[in-house]
Amino acid sequence: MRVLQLLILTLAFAACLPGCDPPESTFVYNTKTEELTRDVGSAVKERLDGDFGSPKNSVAWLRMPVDYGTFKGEVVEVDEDASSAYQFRVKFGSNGDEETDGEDEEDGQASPTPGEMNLAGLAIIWKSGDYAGGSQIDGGKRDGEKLATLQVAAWSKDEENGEEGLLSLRQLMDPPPAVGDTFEIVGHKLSFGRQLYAAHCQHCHGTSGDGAGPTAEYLNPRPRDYRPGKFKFQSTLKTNRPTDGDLQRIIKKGIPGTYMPSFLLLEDDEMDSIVQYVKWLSMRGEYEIKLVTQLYFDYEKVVFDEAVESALEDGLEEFEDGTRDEKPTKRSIQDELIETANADLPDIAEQESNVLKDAWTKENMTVVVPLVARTPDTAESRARGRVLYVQNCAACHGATGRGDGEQVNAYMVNDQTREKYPEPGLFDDWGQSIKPRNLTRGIYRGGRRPIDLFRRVFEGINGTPMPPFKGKFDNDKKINDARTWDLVNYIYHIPFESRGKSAGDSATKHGRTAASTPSTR
Amino acid sequence: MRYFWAAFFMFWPIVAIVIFTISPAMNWWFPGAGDPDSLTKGQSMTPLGVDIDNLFYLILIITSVVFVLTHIALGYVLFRGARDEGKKALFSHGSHALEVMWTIVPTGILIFISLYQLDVWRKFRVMSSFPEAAVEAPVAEVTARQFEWRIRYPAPGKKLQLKPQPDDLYTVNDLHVPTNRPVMIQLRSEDVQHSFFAPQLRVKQDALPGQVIPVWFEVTQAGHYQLTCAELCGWGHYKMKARIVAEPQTQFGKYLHDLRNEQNDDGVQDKKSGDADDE
Amino acid sequence: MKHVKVYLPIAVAALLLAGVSGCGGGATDVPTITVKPAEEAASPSTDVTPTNGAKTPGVVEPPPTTGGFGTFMGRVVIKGGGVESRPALVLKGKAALDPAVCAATADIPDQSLLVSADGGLANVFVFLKKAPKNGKDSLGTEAEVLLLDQQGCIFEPHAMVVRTGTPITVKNSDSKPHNVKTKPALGQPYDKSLNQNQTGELVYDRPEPVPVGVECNFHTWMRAYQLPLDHPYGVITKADGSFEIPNLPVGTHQFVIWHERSTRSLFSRFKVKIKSDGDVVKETIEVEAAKLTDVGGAKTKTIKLSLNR
Repeated sequence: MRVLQLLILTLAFAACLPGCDPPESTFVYNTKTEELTRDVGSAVKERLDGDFGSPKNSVAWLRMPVDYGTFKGEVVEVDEDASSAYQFRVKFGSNGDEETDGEDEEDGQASPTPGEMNLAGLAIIWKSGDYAGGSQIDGGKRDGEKLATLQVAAWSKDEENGEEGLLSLRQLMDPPPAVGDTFEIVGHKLSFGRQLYAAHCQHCHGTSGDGAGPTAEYLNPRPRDYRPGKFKFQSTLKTNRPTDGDLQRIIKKGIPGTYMPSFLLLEDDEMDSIVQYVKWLSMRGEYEIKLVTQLYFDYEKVVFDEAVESALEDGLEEFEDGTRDEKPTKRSIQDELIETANADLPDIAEQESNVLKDAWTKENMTVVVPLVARTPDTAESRARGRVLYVQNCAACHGATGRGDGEQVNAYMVNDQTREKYPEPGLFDDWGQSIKPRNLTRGIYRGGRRPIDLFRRVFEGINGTPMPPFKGKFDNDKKINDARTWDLVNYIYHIPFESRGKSAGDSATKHGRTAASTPSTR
Repeated sequence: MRYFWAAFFMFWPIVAIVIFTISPAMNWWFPGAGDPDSLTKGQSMTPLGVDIDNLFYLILIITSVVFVLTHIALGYVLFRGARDEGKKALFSHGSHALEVMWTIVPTGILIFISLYQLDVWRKFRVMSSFPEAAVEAPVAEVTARQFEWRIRYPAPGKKLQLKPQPDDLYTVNDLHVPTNRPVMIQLRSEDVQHSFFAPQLRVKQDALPGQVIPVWFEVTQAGHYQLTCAELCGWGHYKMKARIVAEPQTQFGKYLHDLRNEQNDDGVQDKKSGDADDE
Repeated sequence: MKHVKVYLPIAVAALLLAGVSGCGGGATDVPTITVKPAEEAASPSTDVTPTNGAKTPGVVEPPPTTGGFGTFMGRVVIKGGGVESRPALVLKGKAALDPAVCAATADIPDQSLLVSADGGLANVFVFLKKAPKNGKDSLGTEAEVLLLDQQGCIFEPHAMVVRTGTPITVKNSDSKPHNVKTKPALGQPYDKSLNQNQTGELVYDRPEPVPVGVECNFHTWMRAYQLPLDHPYGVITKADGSFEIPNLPVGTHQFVIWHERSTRSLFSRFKVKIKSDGDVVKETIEVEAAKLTDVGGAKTKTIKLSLNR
């Protein structure tokens, strides 16, 4: 009997062990990365992991224009007798006297202090002292032995002085830093952003921002896949990336008419961290796509095999001619080709990361600002807008604005495969079926301010068939903007214009109360 | 082990009494504000909420007294039975008088409670007894949807219409109401059943798709109050976290004014002046 | 048996406890952050001297030449000839949108497969991925104005090779609105709506590995292909399938031969050896018709209707 009891207990515990380990969060790779020939594919993955890391071990690549979050500090006390140290007293905020030369003037305000924040796992970079200068990747131990970046293990703030406290590291510093050495603790926004993203976003948008989280398949429209670096609702030009403010606005206000809810009640620092993390994820995704695009046409499995065959033929020819010393084998040719790819990869990575950096740099973004103020919303203005609407918008949005223009019956071509989509209607760059907005319902996904509608018309919607009408209504820029406002005025009016006609319909359809007519979202 | 069951049933009334005694000190009140050092601590921020609290306390007192007394009685009987081992139990065919008594007394209590609460119920749920000022000018329409609260205010100086108007003002997850006057909202649901729940205000009302349900309350103290969904409405139910901001009438007017400015932002005008927004 | 009674609840309780404490911790995992500097220190892995731009794999470095240029010319033909011509995209007067302008007087032909009477295949892109060493860069600088016109809801020309940085004037000659939209794999996308006789300027900022599709969102059948290159060694075949690429430096070159109706390139490494100055390599490149059928056109689905389920 005792055996039976023990068995029950053991089984019970054993059942707990595998089931309760939370699933490891990892970034998934693009399908095209998987289609590369194995060695090249893994080289790309290695590159990607080296530059961005994983959800659990993230890399703050300082080249990318992401605000990873920095606390500047200074060592104020180290145990003098120790020859090495895990922990020492530090002071945050004011950054010593010698550091005031130019470097800190950029923001003009006191550098932030961590307060009670949990700094565990964040990276520490030495700015002055013995450990400064050289790449912190080589930091940790001097002379030979290399460590990855040093990481903070814990931070305990003093009770009385909010800026001072005891900082402990995960790695040993041998010898210890000197008093007065300055350092930066990097990555609290990335770390915090990751935690918040996991709590609020990833069940739809996926761990890697691929829009394929567990709840994604129940949603229509599908959650955004950020990896191509395309965001629909932005204040900037169509070819630009969105500003931090644009991303914040969408997170705060949600997207009416879709499953993206409002996260208005997030604190400012939470919002900032999430935005930075989403940008970082998007950069990672686009970086991967661009790397693979450069290699795909040579190293896709099928193409690569063909290339190996043909190179082998050549090699054999050359061997017979005597221009080649060794008789090539399939294996050696494969290795040769892969070596070329590996030699190319750093250059490609350099090029693409710089392109990405420029794209996300704020200075390279142009915010769309109308040249003239909104035209007063008069009947004449709407009438002018109606004319423009019929000429330009009705093909998709329909003559009455119901989103039922002729285009919904046309077949679009998938730009990736150059094949026609099997179903009629419009498709976005992610290959999802989308419908022209029904303008009679008064739901405006990108926001309902006049400026929002103006930007949608003026720059179009990124990633969708909605084209930009910038400069189309008139060759004079100011007149064009005034015409755009006419169109915006008319669009605002559509839900109320069609009501007269449809009121009868809806009354008969729904039967009775006003309550049964659809309300606003 | 002889007295186990006697002890077991005697234990719970003791626990109950201990909890009643220590809860004020432990700050175990309903969510609310009130003066932390006075009797209004933990009080609802709406007058009707105070009435609801009082109803709750009344029921709590009745049930607690009954609970403690019955358990003590039960414990005593068990104790007697365990102590007098060997003694034969008394067998009876029942007592008519006793049965009538323990039927009539609870019935009386229940009838008392149901009549006593009618007035609060009427004030809270019967539209004809809503404060007239609130019914006349509903402050906003709140539409629950998966998974947020969409709010529509009428333009300042206008009345809320059932159907959206061109100059309506829209927000999400952020309901502002003026303090110290009864306000009414029109509650709708766009998709499934939700429930408008403001715990500090003691307001809870289901939102049903296809219906417009009026809900009124009067907040007496300015501040931020929670608004959550109290009906499991889908996988994102927990995301329906919003707030009710109660503020004095002047501030509320300013809020609507600012909201209108924001809503009419054409990207150009805010550089000139903030309030040239007359449409 | 008495003991089992005790152990069972313990086991159940342990299970529940483990469930409560051990699960659901994923979201609160605190990540570890590593810093990677903006500029990489010369890492030991890049022993190979970095070249300017990526190399095409398999390119055998040409032996040091004394200079000299040859020509690669030829024709792209369908093997065995006889390919059914594609049905018109839009029949006359049947355009879903703007029938007054689109296909008003004639059908809009399907330009994705243009085969001459003797089997020559038009609009095939023949190009080098990267400029060869010792190349001549003089020939691409023709002063010719590049124009992408939209007339009768057709892009004209259908295929085009363009140098990066060279502007293409896009124009709408129709009385209905069009837009010109590109989504290059690497470079900046372009999207512009045009009224009648309005023009725009399309410039590619980066060379692309494959031709870029040009589309009009108003008329979904409209399509063109443009290949931006940063060197002059890329052409499209003429109506009879012929092409000519002059000024190829002496050495071996690997051409990509690409047609829009094939998912992959027709040839990803078509080898051409220029032996000496003035050498002319003539090739007739045969393409199997089957290779050109795997793309395009919604595949007709046969739906069998039956009363039995």
